[in-house]
Amino acid sequence: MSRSPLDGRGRLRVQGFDGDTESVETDDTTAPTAPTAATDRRAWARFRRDRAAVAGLVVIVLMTLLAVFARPIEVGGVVVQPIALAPYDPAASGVAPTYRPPSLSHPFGTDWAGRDVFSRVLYGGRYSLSIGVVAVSLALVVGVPLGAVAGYVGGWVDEAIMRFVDVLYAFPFLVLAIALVAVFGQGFWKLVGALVVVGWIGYARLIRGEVLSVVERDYVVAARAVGASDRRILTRHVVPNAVAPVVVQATLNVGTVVLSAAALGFLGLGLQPGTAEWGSMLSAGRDTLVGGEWWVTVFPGLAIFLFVLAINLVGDGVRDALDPDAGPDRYRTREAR
Amino acid sequence: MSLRRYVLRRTLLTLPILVGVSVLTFGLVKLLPGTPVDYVLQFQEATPELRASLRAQYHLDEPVWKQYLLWLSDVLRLDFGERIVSDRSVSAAIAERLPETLVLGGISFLIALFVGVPTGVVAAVRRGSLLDEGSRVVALLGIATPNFWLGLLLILLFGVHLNLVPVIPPVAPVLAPESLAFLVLPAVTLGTASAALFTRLTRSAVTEQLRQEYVRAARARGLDERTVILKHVLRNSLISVVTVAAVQVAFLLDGAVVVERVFSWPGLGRLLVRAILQRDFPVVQAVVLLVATAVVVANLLADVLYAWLDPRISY
Amino acid sequence: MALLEVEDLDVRFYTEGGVVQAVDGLSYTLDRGERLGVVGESGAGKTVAALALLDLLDAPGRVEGGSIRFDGEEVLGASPDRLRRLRGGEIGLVFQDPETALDPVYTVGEQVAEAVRVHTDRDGDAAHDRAVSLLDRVGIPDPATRATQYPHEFSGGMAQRAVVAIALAGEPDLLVADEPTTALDVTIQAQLLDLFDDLAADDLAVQFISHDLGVVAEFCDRVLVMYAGQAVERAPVDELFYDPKHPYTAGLLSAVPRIGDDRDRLQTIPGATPDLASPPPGCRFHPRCPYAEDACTKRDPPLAAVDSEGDAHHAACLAYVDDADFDGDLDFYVEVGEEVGDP
Repeated sequence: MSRSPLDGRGRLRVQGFDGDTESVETDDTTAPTAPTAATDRRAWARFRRDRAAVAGLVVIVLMTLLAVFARPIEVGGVVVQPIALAPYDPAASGVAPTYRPPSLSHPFGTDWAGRDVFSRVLYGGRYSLSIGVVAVSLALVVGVPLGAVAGYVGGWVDEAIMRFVDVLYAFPFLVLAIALVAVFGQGFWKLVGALVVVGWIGYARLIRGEVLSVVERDYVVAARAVGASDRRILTRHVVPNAVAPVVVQATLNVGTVVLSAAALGFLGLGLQPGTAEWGSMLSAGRDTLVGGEWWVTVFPGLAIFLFVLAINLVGDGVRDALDPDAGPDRYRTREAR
Repeated sequence: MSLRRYVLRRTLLTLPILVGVSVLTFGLVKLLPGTPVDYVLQFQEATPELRASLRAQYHLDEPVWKQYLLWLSDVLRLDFGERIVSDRSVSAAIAERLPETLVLGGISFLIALFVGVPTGVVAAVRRGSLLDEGSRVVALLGIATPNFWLGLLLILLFGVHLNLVPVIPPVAPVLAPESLAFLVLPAVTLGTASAALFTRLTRSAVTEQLRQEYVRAARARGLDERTVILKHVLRNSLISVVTVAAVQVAFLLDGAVVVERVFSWPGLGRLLVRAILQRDFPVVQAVVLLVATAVVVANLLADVLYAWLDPRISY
Repeated sequence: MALLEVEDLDVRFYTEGGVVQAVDGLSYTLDRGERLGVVGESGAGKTVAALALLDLLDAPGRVEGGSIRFDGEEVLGASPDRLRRLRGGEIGLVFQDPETALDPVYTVGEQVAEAVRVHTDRDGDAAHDRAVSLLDRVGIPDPATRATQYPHEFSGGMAQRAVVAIALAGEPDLLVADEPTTALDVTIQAQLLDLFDDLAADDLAVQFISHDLGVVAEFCDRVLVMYAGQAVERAPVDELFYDPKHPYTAGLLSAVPRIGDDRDRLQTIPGATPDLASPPPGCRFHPRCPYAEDACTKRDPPLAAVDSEGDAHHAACLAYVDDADFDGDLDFYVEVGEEVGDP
């Protein structure tokens, strides 16, 4: 083994090299920057670059407009929206012979009651969209506070909430919704209610996870030591960081909710029978198929498919824009762990 | 701790959840307007003696908590009472339908697994290739497609137009060839969304593993790429796939309810929907309880499997 | 003929931010049984160059030019069979972080044994026995039991020894160690270096990559200094430390804090390592060099012999290039003190 005469460290010194004797600054990155307007702009720019996501957004906007302008809207007797893109009243039966294939006057054909399928599909967007947005919003209102409280307060409150979540979690999404509809009946708000009861869990878990991960960080400990109130800590530190995953989850969940509402409609457990809701329109589907009347099945289903596809594209785009490092399914599985 | 003790411990931890599930299921029916007696009496003549005997049968004069315990003790002996629409026992009705749903679910699960996972692996290994991009598009479509719509379309295409498969379920035992032939379309319908999910998840799991240093280290040892992927990467990736597989059980049960209706397949899902429309609540209760229990058990199995697969988990 | 000859190696990374020239015209040789140290800051290209030896670069990195000859045979563009024999069988690689270099779901013994199976005729039990004896060779106590354990049950130092065992399984002629002691405690470092010493005594050539000059000084026969993807100095170890010729080397040496130093602050080389996607024109070190002149911004100095006798000491500075337009004097030198703590 060759030991060099450089054994004794410290005996060599370089002279004459005019190095810089200034101390090196360490990068202080202990506190993550709260999202600012600049980060929002960057996120939007990233989203814009995702062509699929933008396409999805366009589709959603288009479908929303079609649903809004399908038939006139009256508020308190005043006609707020006069345009009727749908040529026929969606509920009007017998406007044409039953089971007519697509034609110029009825682009999507007519159904078993002589109703114009095209008008019904256009109008049906209202149900799907409203159910989707309302159910997800209410689920957020329930889930986010509960999750935040569970994470922040901890102790038996956390245990209780989480055990309850675990129990609810054991019921498959649709099965529980079905059971709730069975007990509470059908109708728009009961349907929304059932979807909310089933849907808030994901947000609660997500927020709780975010809160827990933030609460342990140094700057929160420091804030507490300085005497900042709990509410201030929550709003200034926890909420901004948690917004992104929740937004992604919520966006993707609109698609899940719409699919579930349509499934319930298909099973005859959604809105009142005969409503021009896309899923309900498919429920007589089996009988019509054998008779060869494919248009009654294809078009409403296509509407659901396009809407959910668009939502998924937007959701993926939002996730890539806000949280570029997440894997493609971090928010997709039912558990947002 | 040995594996056996770990299993025992995890099982004990799920018991409170099962209790909660039973409470919720019991409570749900209690929330109904009226009592089961009223529903039964819709089908029969309402004499005072009948009403009294029915009230005794449903323990309606006892305090609620006692009703729960009595109900629970029956359930644990697999006695779910009698149907409201007929005199038959609920357990018999369920036992009749259970194999149908199990076979449908089982085949769908296998389709999802054996289509989804290999596709995900290949897509990750050949990132950016046509197969990768193509599988991502197909997976996205699979997730967005309503399963009832897909089923109807498949019937339209293969049953009506091409006349390749029967559109009416055969009257035969569930494992008979005619039944299995009929089950192809429903199983594909049910399995599609899960397959799509498995594809995406496997792809991201494998991609994640390929970034790890041990993969490069394995190559540096002189192992050929096939060994590196199939022996090292796959084993590590499957760990995360296992947990998702458990969640898929719940997902498939949901889907079965709808798909059975689409194809008129006489399984538990169809029983559930019929029972709701007929207000046959003992059946609804029993099926919901059964389904939730299945989900809990599946998750327990996944936990155990996960611990067994990953040596870093200590038990 | 040298065991390893690297000539004009060029490695580029094609990233979204541009093309990064990670290794630029790197040339060096390594003889049998020799210990070469490769030093430089993070990002200097040391690891990339080592990975290139075994074609282990992942996309978006690619070897774009040059030649790597091991035992006379060209490595770049070698057939998959040749590459597999090379990896582990002729060149063994020791990774920086042993915890991540081992597959967590297989036992350590299995991972050593699989390397044994690839490169020798042994199978089954024979391979396992050999694996245990390799673990013994690298100084792991109770190797038979340890072989049945999983990587997470090993401490950092022990895991690194296991990684060395795997690297040795194919009885390679060259061991490339990429910062093998960096992730470890200082006391464990010393033990691991003893192991390397022990192994190197058996005519095993070692390419020791490190940013720790002290370790390199103790262990290596020759040293290669890299900066921004290029070799800037190459010399026997004594000469490098007593008589550095390149300003960067001098800067590195002066930046090492000394016990008993009476200066208040740490000495650093001003500036930062260049962005390899758009390196400075001319000499890559010139923006940070106190001796830089106009000529330095125009011409990228080749690795030139620093004096006319002997071919051993090279430095990439225009001061040593005869026909360069360099007027100044590199007036740094090394002062040898008496004791530790000498002012």
